Amino acid sequence: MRLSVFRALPPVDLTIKINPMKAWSFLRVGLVVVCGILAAAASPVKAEDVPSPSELWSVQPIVRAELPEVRAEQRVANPIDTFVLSRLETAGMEMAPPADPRALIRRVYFDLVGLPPSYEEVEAFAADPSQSAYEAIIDTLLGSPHYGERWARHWLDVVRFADSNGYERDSNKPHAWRYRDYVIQSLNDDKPYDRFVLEQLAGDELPDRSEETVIATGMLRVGTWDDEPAEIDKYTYERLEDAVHTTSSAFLGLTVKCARCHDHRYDPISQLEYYEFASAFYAGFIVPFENWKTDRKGAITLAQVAGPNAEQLGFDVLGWTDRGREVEPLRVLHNGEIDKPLGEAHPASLSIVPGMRREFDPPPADAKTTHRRLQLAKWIVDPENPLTPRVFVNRLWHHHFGQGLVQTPNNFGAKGTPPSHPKLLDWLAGDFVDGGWKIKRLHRLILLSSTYRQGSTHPEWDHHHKRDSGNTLLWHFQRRRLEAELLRDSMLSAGGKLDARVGGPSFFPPLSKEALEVFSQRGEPWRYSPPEERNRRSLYIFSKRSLIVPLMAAFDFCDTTTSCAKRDVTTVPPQALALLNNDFVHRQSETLAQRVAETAGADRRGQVRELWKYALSRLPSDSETEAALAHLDDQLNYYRERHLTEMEEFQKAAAVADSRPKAGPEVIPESGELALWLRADDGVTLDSNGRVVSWKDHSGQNHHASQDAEEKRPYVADDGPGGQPTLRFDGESRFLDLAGQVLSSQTFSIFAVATINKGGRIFSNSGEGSQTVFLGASLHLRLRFTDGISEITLSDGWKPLVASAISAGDRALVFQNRTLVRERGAALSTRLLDTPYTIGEGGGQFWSGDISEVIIYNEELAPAQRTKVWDYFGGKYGLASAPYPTHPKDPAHLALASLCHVLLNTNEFVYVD
Amino acid sequence: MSTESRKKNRPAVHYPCGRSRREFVWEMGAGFAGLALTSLLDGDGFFERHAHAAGSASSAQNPLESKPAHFPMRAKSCIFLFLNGAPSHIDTFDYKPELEKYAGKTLPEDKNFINSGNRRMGYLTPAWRPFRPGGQSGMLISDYFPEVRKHADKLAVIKSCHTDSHAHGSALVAMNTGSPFIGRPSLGSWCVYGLGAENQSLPGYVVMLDRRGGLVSGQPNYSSGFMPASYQGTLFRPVGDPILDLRGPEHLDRQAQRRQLDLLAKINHEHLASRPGGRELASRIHTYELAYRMQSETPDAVDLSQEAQHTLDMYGVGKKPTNDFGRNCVVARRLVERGVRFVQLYSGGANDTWDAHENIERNHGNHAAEIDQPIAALLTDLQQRGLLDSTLVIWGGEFGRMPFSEGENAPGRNHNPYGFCMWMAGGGVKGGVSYGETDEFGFEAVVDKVHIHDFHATILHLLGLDHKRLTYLHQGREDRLTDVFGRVIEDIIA
Repeated sequence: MRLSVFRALPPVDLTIKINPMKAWSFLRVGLVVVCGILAAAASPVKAEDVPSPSELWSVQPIVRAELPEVRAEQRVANPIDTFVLSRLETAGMEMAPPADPRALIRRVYFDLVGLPPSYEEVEAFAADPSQSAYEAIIDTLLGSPHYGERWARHWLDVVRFADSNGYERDSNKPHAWRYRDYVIQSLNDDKPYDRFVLEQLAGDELPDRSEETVIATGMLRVGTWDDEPAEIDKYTYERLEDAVHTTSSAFLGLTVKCARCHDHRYDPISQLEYYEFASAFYAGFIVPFENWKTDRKGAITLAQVAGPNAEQLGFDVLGWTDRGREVEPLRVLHNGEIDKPLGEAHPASLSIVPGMRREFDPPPADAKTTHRRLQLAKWIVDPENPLTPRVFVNRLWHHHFGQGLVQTPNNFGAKGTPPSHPKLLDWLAGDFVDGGWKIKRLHRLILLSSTYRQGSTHPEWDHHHKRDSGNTLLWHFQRRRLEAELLRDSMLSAGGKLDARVGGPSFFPPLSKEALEVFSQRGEPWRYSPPEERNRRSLYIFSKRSLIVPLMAAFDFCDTTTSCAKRDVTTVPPQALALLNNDFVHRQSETLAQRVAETAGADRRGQVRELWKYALSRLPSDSETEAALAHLDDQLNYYRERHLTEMEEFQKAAAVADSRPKAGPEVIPESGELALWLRADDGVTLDSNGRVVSWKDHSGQNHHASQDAEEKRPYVADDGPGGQPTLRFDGESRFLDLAGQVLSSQTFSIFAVATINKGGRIFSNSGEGSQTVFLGASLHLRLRFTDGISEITLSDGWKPLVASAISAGDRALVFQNRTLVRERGAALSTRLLDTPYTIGEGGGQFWSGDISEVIIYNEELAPAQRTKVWDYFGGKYGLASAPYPTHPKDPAHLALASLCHVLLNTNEFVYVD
Repeated sequence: MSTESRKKNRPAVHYPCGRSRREFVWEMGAGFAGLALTSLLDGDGFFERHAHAAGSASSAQNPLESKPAHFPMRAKSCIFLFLNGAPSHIDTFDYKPELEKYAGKTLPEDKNFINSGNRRMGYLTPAWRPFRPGGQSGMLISDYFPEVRKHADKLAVIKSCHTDSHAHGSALVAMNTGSPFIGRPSLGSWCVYGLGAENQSLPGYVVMLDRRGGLVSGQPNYSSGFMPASYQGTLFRPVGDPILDLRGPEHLDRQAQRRQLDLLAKINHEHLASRPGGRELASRIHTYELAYRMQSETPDAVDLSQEAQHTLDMYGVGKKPTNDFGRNCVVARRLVERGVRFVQLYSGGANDTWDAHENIERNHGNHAAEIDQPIAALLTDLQQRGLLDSTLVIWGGEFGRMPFSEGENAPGRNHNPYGFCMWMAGGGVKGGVSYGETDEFGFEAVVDKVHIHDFHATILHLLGLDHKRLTYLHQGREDRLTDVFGRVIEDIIA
């Protein structure tokens, strides 16, 4: 029920109206009965009392307490342990015994670089588990470029990083990966955290601004972005909330966004302060502005774009900057409602840290921006601001131990969990600032503590578990399941195929046709990366907001919409299904089997040993060896039996295939009806910019293709299908006009060698859609041939293909390579033939992808003739060559792969002690 | 303003968390208000508020464990028939005789609206097909849905719906999650979060897309947002393997896989033996047995060969144009029978949806012919099997369509977020009733307006969940499906 009586009281918002706990405030001004009754009648929304800044623990100055005295002195490796032991001893509990060196080294590897140690590395440490050996390992790992990758992922979660915008079109963000690489590099360089903050918030305003610092401001661009907002004004405020929320969560651990519509219900942050804080971002290109584009036909399409462009940024990157040195003030909105603007907000910091409120100064005379973000960033990293180091130190702790000293890493407000070890948190925070905000130094400190080096089991498990089941007091090391990325990377690593290259554009792993069905026609499609990209670390998987890779999603990949400080850890059957059946996992099992066989040869006992070494970095126990050998036996018998039948079938099919001629002919079928023959390897004329002016028709009919307008010309690339030259179209505006009337008959055959990127039209004439002839593709790899035939879903549609379409007197046929993918039992309705023809466009749909060759006949080509065309393409592009049957896999290999597959599924593989 | 508001927010004394609530109630103590509040807070589950917030060790182990409802459930399951692209309310369930009178005129100037996509503006246009009364109630339903009309007495049509966006992408997300901005858990996720699943071998929340393709905005429509991924909608295909990764490579048959699982269990148990207290390890071992069962039980749910031929005929399976949606409807019924909590079926996908800008008659004619018979069959079938009382069936799209045409003499209609209709049937809903009204043109909701928050609140209510108590602690806030809004439409509840 909404209480309209309160609508007369402007400063009181809806939440307060219906909120019995907020009634507390009213009580204090004497509205006891009225409010109680009204609140009781209203819907009961709960709230806490709001503490004043002097009462909130997290904003009090950092105090470095004396180190407490402890009894178990032998466990004190550094100050961290004194704080932890002191609390344990008070509770009558003890630390777990130190972890076994083998467990510890595996833990440290996953923790710092996200990859397992090799068997040899484990054994070396087991042989010499000394302090100096341990320190050496830590230093090596902190110096590894993979350290930055591992820890960048944690930060990317916090800044809700993804490579696409989300929403209807879910367009890809150009250059988003460079922000990701910036984070990796900053961590690898051990950039002081205060500088890291300054660069991300105000890299464009720094006196020493550079391309790198402007890329850093990409933090403000890598969130969701609606390019067709329902209401632009409203969406502007939504964008502001995203900037405010990400900034305040990431750096301050505060939920400032809760004060957007009313004063914060739990923390001392007023609604006005929300807008003061938001002013820093309001000065930027926050308002989606309209960008009108005119397409070829003169129709106007509207695209809402926003954010500064390369010119405004000074670099062609995805960054942030202000619209100028002065911008109109931001209006506070009553109840956060767009049509109820109140006063203006003056840019300022929060007042939540006692004595630290700063109103921002106007920019210096020579500034091009407002310098609000710079002042905000400086306020955030001011050594007097206790939130910043506390929040960051806690994040590091959270990732090392599985839970933070404060268990709500993004919320240090009154609704957050208070620290389990407040003195330890302060000691670490103080030490972090005093040590120059150096992150690697902090890692080292934590990793060298006895607290970190505890085992994950405890001799007094039951007793201790009853007292502290959540391990808040840190009486053992918390066993952890690998995150989605680590799981995938570990599988690649076990098989020895992990591509360890650091940085660069994101890649698209192959997904099953089923997984891709979710796409609508409007979004940008999933483009497979070439095989050589696909074994890169999971950090580099293209993060598309409308489609999280299923294997990643199954293992609790974070939501990319808002800042994520800690990932969920669920244990559900779909995860088991994924590891049991997913194609990726099976491929890794086979790769691993191959690696094992290469090392161990045919000796099965040796194979088991090598497998355990590769997958688990240890040797198998006797009972494991016996069980593994028995499994190999069983599976081998099974596969051998299968193999007999498979080989029989194979030999039959192979005999047929062998009888076919090997290479394709050099020529296409001769026919008086040949109407068009365009080939990218011959007859392409380029302009001075390397773009296609004209494309010669080899049919003798002189239907040459050309483009007069420079900006509409396609490119030529030499890495087209079959490694041959190709014409590359961007799907935006590029196409070629064909001279003359290409088709002269209602029966015809069209062949095209192409790669579908997004779709569009390969070949078309103009006119009403239902009367034209066209061959093309829609988004998501569906082939189109006139509108008389519905879209054809292709398997492996991302691969280069020969698309063939035949219009006969009584039917129509469509082929992908040699496979008939659609047959229409009746002729197409009569087509217009005398309208202009184009390559790469039709009906305003521009082709996105490659076109290497187009051959058209004004007749229905007979099957034998078609085969000749395909043989020609087969020889030239390696496409549409007659398939050769696949040789059945070796039973011994499959049996070993089965064993490998089991190991990749074990708890030991998936958990870290 | 700022000092004032700050004062208001800062009581002089801080009460540590946990104590303050009681102290507050105590101080209110003697009076009527105090009593009222005590019972209010208590009945509201105030003192057990975290019972429903996930994240504790036990709920993380099995987030889909069946949980008690807040109050007796009217419906145990929900089937949401989603007409993707937005059907025209004016042409289907919201009869507007006045439009005949105004036909050919422009919309009065005082009607402010967003001309979505800057389309051409035309004249007020009456419904493209006639309306006729159905059932005892005589509810008027157009000739696009003659079969559904026979079930008029089962329907509660809400004619006064309105939403927050005129664009498909955000309006779909709004209808599914309550907010036009992506990132929030969807309705189905909230249901499964609140009630758990009754069948651990099947997903609790199933989504069946149209075979023609997916939705704009994609996954955020059935995402679990900030909740664990276990609550997200599982995409189900009605043909072949219904879910991803249900089957391994062809060469690994069931016995061969069984041998793998036996070895896996042996290795895992040896690993567990040296790790006392490893509950997470034990529960992961258990998931493999569940997964093994899912491999056979999930395909069983879509195996229509188990259905009687007359049942399939009733749904129009095996016949154009009803086959695809008909199959999905049969599968939906089979899922509900097996205890799946929330099933969502989409009609329309990729670039073939209900988005009838060009031509209502052609578009709705084609699409309604695909789903009219299957929907009617679903209602009949559920009733015959005694499932209709415990299954809430919902029909509707992300918004409605405009009462005027797009361009002069043009037969299409543009988007309309200001007024549209949805209907519910079964699961505790009154039949043969309508609720709320749009204005005489069908342009905007004017009487008993129902925002999507109200709509969601009502759905949760029918499933035994109080939308105000179903909260999830996220970033310091007890988040709800209905934000701080939502009103249960009591008038349509039986």
